[in-house]
Amino acid sequence: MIEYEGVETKESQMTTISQEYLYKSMKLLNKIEETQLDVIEKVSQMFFESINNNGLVHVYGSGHSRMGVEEMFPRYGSFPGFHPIVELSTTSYHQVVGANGLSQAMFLESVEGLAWHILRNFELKKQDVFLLFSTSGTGNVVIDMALLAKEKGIPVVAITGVENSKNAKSKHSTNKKLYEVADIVIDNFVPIGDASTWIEGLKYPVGPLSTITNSAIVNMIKVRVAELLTQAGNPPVVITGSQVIGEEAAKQAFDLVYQDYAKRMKR
Amino acid sequence: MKQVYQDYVSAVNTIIQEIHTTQLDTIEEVSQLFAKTIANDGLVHTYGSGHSRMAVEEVFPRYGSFPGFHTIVELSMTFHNQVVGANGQRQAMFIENIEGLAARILRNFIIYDKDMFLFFSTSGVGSVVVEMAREAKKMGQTVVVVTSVENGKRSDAKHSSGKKLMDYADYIIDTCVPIGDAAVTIDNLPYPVSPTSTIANTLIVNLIKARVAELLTQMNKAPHVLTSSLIIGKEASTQAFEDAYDDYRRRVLRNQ
Repeated sequence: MIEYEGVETKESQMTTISQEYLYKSMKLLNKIEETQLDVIEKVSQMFFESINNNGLVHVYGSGHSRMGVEEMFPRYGSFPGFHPIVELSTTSYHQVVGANGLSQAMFLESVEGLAWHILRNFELKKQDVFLLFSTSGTGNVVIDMALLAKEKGIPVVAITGVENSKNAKSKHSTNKKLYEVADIVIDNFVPIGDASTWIEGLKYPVGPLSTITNSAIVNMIKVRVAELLTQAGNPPVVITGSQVIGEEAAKQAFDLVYQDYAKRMKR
Repeated sequence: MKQVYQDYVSAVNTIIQEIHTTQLDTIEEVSQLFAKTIANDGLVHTYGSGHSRMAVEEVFPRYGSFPGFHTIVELSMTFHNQVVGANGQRQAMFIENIEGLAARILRNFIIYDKDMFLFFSTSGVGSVVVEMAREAKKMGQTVVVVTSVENGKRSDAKHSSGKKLMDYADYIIDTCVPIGDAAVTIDNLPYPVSPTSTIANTLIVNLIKARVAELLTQMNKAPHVLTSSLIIGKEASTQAFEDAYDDYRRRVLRNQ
């Protein structure tokens, strides 16, 4: 029987390895509630201010941090105002080996200079904000992106694993990590190396946690920003399932979202 | 005929004539080597970035083509049709000059001694393609390069070693395209338009393909050719595709 702080486990039951993973996830979610609510509120207010003033929240992550970006927008229950930047070169590695393999993506996400070429494509405004995801906080592209945003006077929010990052070695020429260059840091609390669960006889841990914590943080922000926009008299158009509002209304919501997104992107 | 039509058609005709009169000996040599490689279950690894990707796709898979060529297409340097934005051309053109990436790409593949490499690059100076050729040479591979010799000579090397693609080539097939690729000048427009390398590359690819198919057939190793149902009927066409896919998988997976 393994005890998990803050999680009620049923004494009578044997803890399976699957439950162990579940408890570890719950523990991290509790920790986020205990320690990150203030910073999440602050970030939500910033994003609200930005979106309410026709600013954009530029969202970037490479590797599996791309999932945090996709969780933000577009998907059901999400709304325009966020500008997801997804580069295939650092995120489309599902071939694993071969052309477009993981090895190339992991190489490219640490090339300094690439972020400049990515950002050069976009018109940035002073009311914008950057939201950057990196669990290790050591990818050179994401660090460059933070530095470039700050150079332009745009605030940078990072969602990163602080403890994990402290134990990782910087690969950047400035010797910095993402949490050191961001203006505001939301900690996703993943254990060192992200994988959480050790199995007897297996020399590697399995079961990464960052996707769960990133998704929780993203949606905590999203619901609060939607609330703030609505209270301000600017309710967002939300991508909504036909099961919820009917086929016709859902179709219309999608169209309105696309229109609104296109309008916000056209600067 | 409008002058610009005339200009482009005659530029292309000149290139085709030049390839015809100056490159057929090299093309024959290369075709012989490719046929031998493919007949022995070797692979012709084929790579190009940017618009040179089009030549890679012309090699295989498409109608009238057959397994034996292993096409390497990296999205990071070839999927630039968004032009600006995420996956824009800026990123692709930056990435195709990053040193060290070629070794990461090649590390994914099992290369046999009997294999060969075929590279396309009109400028012949992109750092990734230069390093791909360098790495292939290190492995003792025979390197065939389809490039514009005149463009390559006039372009400055971008690689820190000062090397260009031609420096690593065992065989060079010259696309004979003009400097800068574009062929037509227009009054009052300071830039030439209408590039010619796609046509030149495509011609060279299909000259090779036709000859390799002939040689393989003469060796009693007739290739599985992707063929339209309009030519051989629906059923035979479906079968030809399945056979080509199976043959491609067999050749590329290798016995590990």
